[in-house]
Amino acid sequence: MIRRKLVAAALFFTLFGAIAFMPPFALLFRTNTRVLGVPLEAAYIFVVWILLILGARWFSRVLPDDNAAPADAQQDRSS
Amino acid sequence: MPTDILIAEDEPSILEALSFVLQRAGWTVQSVTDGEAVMQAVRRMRPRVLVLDVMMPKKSGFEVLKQIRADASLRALPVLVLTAKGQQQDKRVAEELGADRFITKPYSNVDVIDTVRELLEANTAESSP
Amino acid sequence: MTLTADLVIATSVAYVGLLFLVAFLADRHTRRRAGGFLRSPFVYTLSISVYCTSWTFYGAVGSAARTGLEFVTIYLGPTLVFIGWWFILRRLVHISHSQRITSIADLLSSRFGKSGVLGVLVTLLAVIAIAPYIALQLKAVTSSIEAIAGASEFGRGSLEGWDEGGLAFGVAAGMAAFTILFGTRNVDANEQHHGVVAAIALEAVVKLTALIAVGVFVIYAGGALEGVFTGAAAAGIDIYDTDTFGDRWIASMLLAAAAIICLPRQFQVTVVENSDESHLRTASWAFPAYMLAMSLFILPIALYGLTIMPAGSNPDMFTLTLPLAAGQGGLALFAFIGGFSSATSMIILESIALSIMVSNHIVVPLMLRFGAEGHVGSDHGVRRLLLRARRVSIVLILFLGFGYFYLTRSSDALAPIGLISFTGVAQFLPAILAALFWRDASAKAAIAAISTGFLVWLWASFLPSFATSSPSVAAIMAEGPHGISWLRPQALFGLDMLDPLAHGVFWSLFANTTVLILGSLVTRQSALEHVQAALFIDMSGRSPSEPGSLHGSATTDDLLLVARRVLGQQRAFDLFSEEARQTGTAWTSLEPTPAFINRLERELAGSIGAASAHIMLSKVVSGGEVSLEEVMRMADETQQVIEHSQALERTSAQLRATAEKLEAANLQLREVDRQKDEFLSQVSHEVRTPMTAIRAFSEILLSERDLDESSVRSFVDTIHKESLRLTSLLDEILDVSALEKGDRVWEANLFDPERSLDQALRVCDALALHNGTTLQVTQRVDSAHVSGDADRLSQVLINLISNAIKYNNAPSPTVWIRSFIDGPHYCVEISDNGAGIPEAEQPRIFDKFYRGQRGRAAAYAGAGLGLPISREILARMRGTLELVPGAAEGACFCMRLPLEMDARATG
Repeated sequence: MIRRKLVAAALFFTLFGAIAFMPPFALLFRTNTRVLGVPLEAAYIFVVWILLILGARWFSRVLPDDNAAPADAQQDRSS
Repeated sequence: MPTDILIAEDEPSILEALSFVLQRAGWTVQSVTDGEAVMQAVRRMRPRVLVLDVMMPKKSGFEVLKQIRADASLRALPVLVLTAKGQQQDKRVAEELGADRFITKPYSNVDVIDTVRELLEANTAESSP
Repeated sequence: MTLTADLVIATSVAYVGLLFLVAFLADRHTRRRAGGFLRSPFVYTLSISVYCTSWTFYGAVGSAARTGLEFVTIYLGPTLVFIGWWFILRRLVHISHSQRITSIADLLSSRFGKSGVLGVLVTLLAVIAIAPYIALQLKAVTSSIEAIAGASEFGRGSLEGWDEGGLAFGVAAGMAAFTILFGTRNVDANEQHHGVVAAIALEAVVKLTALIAVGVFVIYAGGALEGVFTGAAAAGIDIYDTDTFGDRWIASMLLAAAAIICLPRQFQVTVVENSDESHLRTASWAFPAYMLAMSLFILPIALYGLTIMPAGSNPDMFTLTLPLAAGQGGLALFAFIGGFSSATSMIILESIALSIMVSNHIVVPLMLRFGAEGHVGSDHGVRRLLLRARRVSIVLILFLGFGYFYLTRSSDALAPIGLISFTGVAQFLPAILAALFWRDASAKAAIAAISTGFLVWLWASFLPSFATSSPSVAAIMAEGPHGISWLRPQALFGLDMLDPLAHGVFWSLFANTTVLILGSLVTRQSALEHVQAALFIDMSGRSPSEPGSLHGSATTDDLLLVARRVLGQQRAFDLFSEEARQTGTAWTSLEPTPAFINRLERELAGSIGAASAHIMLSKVVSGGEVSLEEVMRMADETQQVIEHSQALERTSAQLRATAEKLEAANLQLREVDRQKDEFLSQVSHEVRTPMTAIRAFSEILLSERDLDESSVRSFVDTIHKESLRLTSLLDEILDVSALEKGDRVWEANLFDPERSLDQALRVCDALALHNGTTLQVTQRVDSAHVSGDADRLSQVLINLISNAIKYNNAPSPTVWIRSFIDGPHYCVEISDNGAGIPEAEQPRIFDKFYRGQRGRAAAYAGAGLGLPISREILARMRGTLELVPGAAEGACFCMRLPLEMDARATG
């Protein structure tokens, strides 16, 4: 994937995360169902949370090196 | 009596000395003391040689020389230019204007006599045959 | 194991000692430049988890017990911000690094044209908004000690007689001392505190382990996850009771997302303490994972607590009371330390961050305004003042927190208090987002927006928290101020269907954002703002062009002085050495280039904030603010090019002018040279002429033997005459050159010019007699006084009279002389009846070497220097010599000298 698409993907990933956590989407899981005794909505939130963390981990590795930025930082640090 | 030499010189003592030595050398000498008088005297006297000082009142020696060389009847007149300025530039100007000889003051009397003699002889050689 | 208050306090003190040791070792470690694991992205991530305070440790459980799943929003918001790190945090960190930003106040101040006002505003509001948050920590620590103390009969121990307020005061005082010891040992470059960060990271591990330990205990005691949840359901406790995904959910998620950016301590750890921008990559998933781990057991602990604890027990303390109730003293102590950890880490970092803001944005500007020079130049320097200011502000901040705690102590839930703070600091969010993304946001609008949002917050969120302790506040909440119902704090404009939290968040952020947008649309940015905005937004434009830079008359010594005061001897020395090394110049010949000043400004900004650094350097460098032109020049590249070409034009115009001047000077020189040549040529002529006569006659005398006596005599006479002429000529030449150079000393005596005239007449009598000329003196002055040289005047008069005699060729030559007083002048007039001077020659007779017509004919011709010399002499005596025009016959010269008035009066 080219850099621009990766950045766009990261943006939509974040936005989808936000939407997933919010009504009305979250209301879909507000049913009186339990998974191992845990209410579905709680389980849902934590599962999405875990998925987001895994996704973020992937993005943190593939997002382009903002090459100018670390270079600058190094320079600043050395000065 | 024809005039051998016409002297154009404004300094009285120099004129006196020149006249004396040239006369003693055996020539007839006439003189004028300013630039304007020169042309007239040359035409009237028809001298065989003109001794011309550069720094003269009314008209400078160079101007006189220029006029002489511009006049067809006078063009052949031998001219000895005397100058007290002693600069190379003057000599060059004199040569450009057609002076035959150029002597810087103070001069040796012998030099002047020899030079005048040369001019007279060359003139004779040219004109007599 | 029986827990007592004494034991937990002793444990706490020991724990603090451990933290201090860790901080000390870490500081020493980094000072040796080892870096190592302390600079790893995981330590960075752990330090960010200072976000999870005792609010999480105790309050989240309480919140879960009261409102179910809602507590997770506090962690979901930051999770979203971190997984979207690329868009906000990355920019924030990068900008802050490149601009040496020290705090959130500094960030906003810097972006909005290094505005001092904005810095002060943000600082003040942050201090106010954080007070409830500090109060929350004090309350949590106090409550936890109380919980342990209340658990057994002898639990209070030495706390006997201390009420809750006293205990909280003690905690606050202890925290203040601790923070001062921790955070203000030195003013660090860039405000990075490696020791503190290391201690915070340790605390992060401790609190997470403690919470997980309690969680595991609960799962174990409750019979696995299913057991806990079904047990709770069986006891009639169900999270379905609450409206989970409602307006509060959205509002608190938004607030938490804002808080992770805007909270001063979060900005400090995430942005300022960041030592490598790539660490953010790791933190983007690791920090959400940490929060997930923290949240995982909250719900089970809350439900289990609700299930087994007696009704009416404080759910905020379940983390502590559940192990206590189960007789697990060790676990309870560990839990207490976990809670203590989370509180101390927050208090330490928050007060350090706030104290930096207070000292950089309030104390330093005040110092600069009042007696700046004295402090900048004083022996103790700025550093000491800064440290003192920070210590004072730490105490102030903690006791503001204590004050809030004291006033609201009757309310018992922790989480609502934290949300009030969150709403307060969230007022910075619109301005920060605008700073990063909107070029046209203006400082005026930002100031107005933050103020507006904050006023709404004070009214709708902050004030209601006092309702339980103040009847008048409760009255306002019920009926509105003076009965104006649409101003009721929790139902502004009649909006009463929202939850109070959502209500406050909505109105404050709505007003804030609206003012920011509309304000920016109608106001104009200053030049510096424009520059800074471009810099903040155009992250890709990392050209070496240095915006808003200063340059002026400062010497390197001035700069070093300032740097040493602020950064300290060693750092200033390092900085200057580095610069000298980079530019390849010697230390002593270091030039204060704009680039270097800029860099120095950034370094100073790292210690005292952008606005203060700018002001400070401005003072040193130019004695004032940067000019608008200067800023604009730096701002715009096009502008720069235009300026550049203008400068080139100016330079070439200057070159042209110089060339013209040179040419003129050259011409003048050439003219002088020509005049000199002319003069020499004249001199040569004048010398050669008599020499010619002398030589010619001498040769005649030498070569001609038969000359008659009279001729010889005449020739010798001429030679003699010419040699005299030569001598006088040389005298005249020397005279004229001396007069022109002016090097002869002039005697300026008072004398009677009549005596000079007498002398001249005596000298000229002989000549007149020789020439047969009659001298007639027609008028004399009795006596007069003039100033000058009597002999010189005689010389002039002799020259004039002898000229009149020599050049007179009339049949009966006569020269008339008269002296008279004409107004303020003494005059002598000499006229003759000769031929006169032709009109054409008149203008030239005073020229050097010019001899008139009659002069040439005369026997005694001079070199033509007599008149110029005479005129020069008279000029030296402030007199004049003129040819009187219009004489009927002959020539008439008139000389004038100014009379000396005093002498005339007395004489």
